[in-house]
Amino acid sequence: MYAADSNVWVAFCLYLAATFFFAFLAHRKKAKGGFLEDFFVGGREIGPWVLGLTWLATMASGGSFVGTPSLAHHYGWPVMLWISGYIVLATTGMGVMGKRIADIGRRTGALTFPDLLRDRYESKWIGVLSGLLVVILHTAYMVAQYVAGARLVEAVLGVPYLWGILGFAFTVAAYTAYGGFRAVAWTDSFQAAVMLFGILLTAYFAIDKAGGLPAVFAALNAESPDLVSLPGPDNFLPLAAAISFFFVWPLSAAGQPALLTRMLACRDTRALKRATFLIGVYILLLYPAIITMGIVGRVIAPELQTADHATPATILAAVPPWLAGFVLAAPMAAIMSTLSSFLLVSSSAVVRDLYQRNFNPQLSEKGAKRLTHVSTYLVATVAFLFALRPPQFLQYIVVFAGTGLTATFLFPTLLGVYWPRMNRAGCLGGILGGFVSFIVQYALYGTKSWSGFDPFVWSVLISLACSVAACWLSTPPRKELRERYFGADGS
Amino acid sequence: MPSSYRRSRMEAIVAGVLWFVCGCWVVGLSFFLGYKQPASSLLGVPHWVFWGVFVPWVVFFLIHCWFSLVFMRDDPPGDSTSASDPAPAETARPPSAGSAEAR
Repeated sequence: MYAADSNVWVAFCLYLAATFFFAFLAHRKKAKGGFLEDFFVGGREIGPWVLGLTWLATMASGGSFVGTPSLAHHYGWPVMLWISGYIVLATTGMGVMGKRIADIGRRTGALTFPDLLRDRYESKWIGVLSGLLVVILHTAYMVAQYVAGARLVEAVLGVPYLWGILGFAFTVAAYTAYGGFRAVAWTDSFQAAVMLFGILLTAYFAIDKAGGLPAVFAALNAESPDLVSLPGPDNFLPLAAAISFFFVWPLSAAGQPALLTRMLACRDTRALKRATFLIGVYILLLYPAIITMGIVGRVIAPELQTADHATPATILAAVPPWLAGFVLAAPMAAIMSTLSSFLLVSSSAVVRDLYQRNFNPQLSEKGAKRLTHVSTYLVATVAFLFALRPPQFLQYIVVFAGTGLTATFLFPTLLGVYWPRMNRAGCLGGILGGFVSFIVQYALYGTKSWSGFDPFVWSVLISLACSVAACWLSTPPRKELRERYFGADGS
Repeated sequence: MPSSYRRSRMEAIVAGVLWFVCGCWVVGLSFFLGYKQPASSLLGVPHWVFWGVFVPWVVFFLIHCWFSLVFMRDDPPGDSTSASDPAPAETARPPSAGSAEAR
């Protein structure tokens, strides 16, 4: 445990109280549609600020605030190239499919990501398969968030790891089940603001304490020149890995189901394009500061109890004690916001895509409400159990789950919304090709697959090849379906 | 006037091109400046970070502003396919109903 005082406890409790307050407000807002539409997509009335901030808070997870600074603390400046795909993350994440998904969602009434695929391909099995994969991979991602949160409270508050995971699991499940999408989006917005100010303040105080960036550069260069030049210590980022990660981050944002689900909630395209602009501003301010904080942390807080303690150690070493509690809420906010979004996507997949649309289409509002609450707590419990045995570097789970999701769903979704010829066989080929090749490469080669590239790169290409091949070898979709999605272009 | 579908497709293509160009700049320049050679400091950061990451970040942020505020178009509500094409059959179903069960 690092040196924390009662201010940290007070600030943390205030932060939690504010989070529940926003969830309470969201819950009180009168629903316009049915329970499921309100619970899963906020009644499709989310404006630009909330849309942008909830997208950001979902995307910026415990990996960004706990895992990435720890990598920067360990490997130095090469991590800046590792994360450089974030330069175009807002452009690809919102610009590639955002508007199209929002448009299709409004016209077809889709509530979840598997809903979109199921309706586009007119296949119940695609709905079931995508629902199952969404639950499995999102649960893996949630494990990473639990680990991050528990390590954080272990480091700064001295709460044992097990109790930390329990606390996170219960807290987030409670406000997600209570308020649904609107509560998640509103608390996300509050949390995104906390995250940005927390990191900017920490970076400022850390650089100031270290005597400025030139002093940090000199200290790192004296310790090891590998910390300031590529590929970094222990050959951290060879060229193939640098190229891989420029694929990984922008494409992950473009094909991530939890992020695409945000588009289903937006009010109109005006809100969407303003949110796109806002996301670009936020990322520009946040990510260089996060990496810089981790790098400077190596100079001002060199000794860590475990690899993932870089963020709390840097905050407590740099930020004045009266402010540290507020700043420590930033990584908490990142973890909780991502956790709640993924929990919602997973529970919606269970209720909507696995149960309602297959077994009980006439599910009553009361039944849907009860089942949604049960599935939210159930998914949280499963992730909690997996988090009991954490790995050394948290960021590796985040990369695995995030890239696995995108490798599986990017091309089946992208081709489905832009290519009228794309059909059910192409979608199944893309999903299975991407997922199976991703798992096999990870099992056989770990994070460096053929030619040193990340398994994600090959899996995405295999998914594309399987989609196109299976599509051409089977009959095109019927004309009415093509016209429904593509208008005259689908004829 | 192009349809919403065509317009979205054009925006996606431009986003993809921006990603590719940015990747060539960032990874390419960082490779030439940062790999296998000692780094020098420029304003307190390694010179390869300054030219290979920070400068493109600012440049592509400005392009992103143009992309999101100017190039992306506001589609009026209800324009799902085209302003000039005949409207397709609307098939929206009640969101919470499990109707139109798929094959």
